[in-house]
Amino acid sequence: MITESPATVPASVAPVRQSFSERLNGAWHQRGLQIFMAIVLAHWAEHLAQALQVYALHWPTKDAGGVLGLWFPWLVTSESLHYGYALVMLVGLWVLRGGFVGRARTWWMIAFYIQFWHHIEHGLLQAQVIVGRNLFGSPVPISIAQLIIPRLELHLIYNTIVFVPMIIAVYRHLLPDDAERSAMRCTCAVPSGATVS
Amino acid sequence: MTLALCAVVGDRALAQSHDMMMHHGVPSRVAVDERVGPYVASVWIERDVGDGAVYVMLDAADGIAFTPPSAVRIALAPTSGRLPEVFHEAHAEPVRAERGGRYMTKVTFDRPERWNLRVIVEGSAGGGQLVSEVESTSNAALGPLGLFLASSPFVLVAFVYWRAWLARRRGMLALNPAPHLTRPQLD
Repeated sequence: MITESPATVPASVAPVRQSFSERLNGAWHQRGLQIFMAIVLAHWAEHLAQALQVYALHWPTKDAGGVLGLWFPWLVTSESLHYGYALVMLVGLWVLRGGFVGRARTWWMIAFYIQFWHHIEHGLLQAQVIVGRNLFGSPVPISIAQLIIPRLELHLIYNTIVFVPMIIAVYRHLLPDDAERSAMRCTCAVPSGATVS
Repeated sequence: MTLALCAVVGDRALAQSHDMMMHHGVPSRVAVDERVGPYVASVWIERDVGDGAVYVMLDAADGIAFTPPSAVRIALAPTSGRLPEVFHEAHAEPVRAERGGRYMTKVTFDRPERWNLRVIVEGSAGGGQLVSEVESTSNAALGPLGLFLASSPFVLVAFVYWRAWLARRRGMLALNPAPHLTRPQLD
């Protein structure tokens, strides 16, 4: 005879306990993605302000620190800020990847891999400082991409080539096809009857 | 203790690496392992308009012991001849874990154009000079493309959300179609 404690609830009935990652890529994905995009766009807003200062107002590049740089120049010239943002991007791309399916996932991961390479470049530079020996006989620490583009615009180019696949992923995520929609666990997609081809 | 050591090393790396990070650009290679008297020289230069550094890396040629030169000078003049040649005395810089010596000085490019560069090395072991050309470049090299690149994310995000809004609106219209009005039959 099988006896069952009155407190025992069958597994099929018990509410499924989700991990933080599952929630972030499920019910919280839309909000998480919005916050992540807000951070990304705030960074771009600084670059836009900087570009206006350089290309429209013709300020010297060392004085063109964007909006933040006008009040906190030390903050903009701090490597910690640039490196911190690169880290936030990498972590954001990684932790939000689970919510993306199909083509959106492919594009999102392309953005992640490019950002990962960007990070390796930062790592190479810092390793050269720590070891005290530079690559390619350079007098200063140098990254691989800097051999081709030694200019400050490299940072802008890196951000662009990460952003483009990221925004394609978001587009595919908001407007998925039927197969992708059925595999999605979040609420980001435009409702089914509304999808445009 | 380990954590504190990591924090110190990390902070030092971040602080020291900043000036030469990709956010500021790095010097370009002008000459690599070229013979200058008893030395082999490599020259790197920051060629953006404004003040920039010139680095001269020297090592002894033919495997002999390195004798530091008594003077390393950089001579710079526009190829157009619009300005006279200007000499800059380079000073030795401390280097870790490298053979030979490294010498650095600051030069000024007042506009983007081609310049004649001479690196003159003098010393008890002998001397020589290296002649090259370098093109100084504008700070705002990307020009309007830089402005386009910086503004494109906002255009792309606006486009994505506009498409999503359009799709949502079409969907709502499909679910709630306007009532079909027919002309009443008069006869």
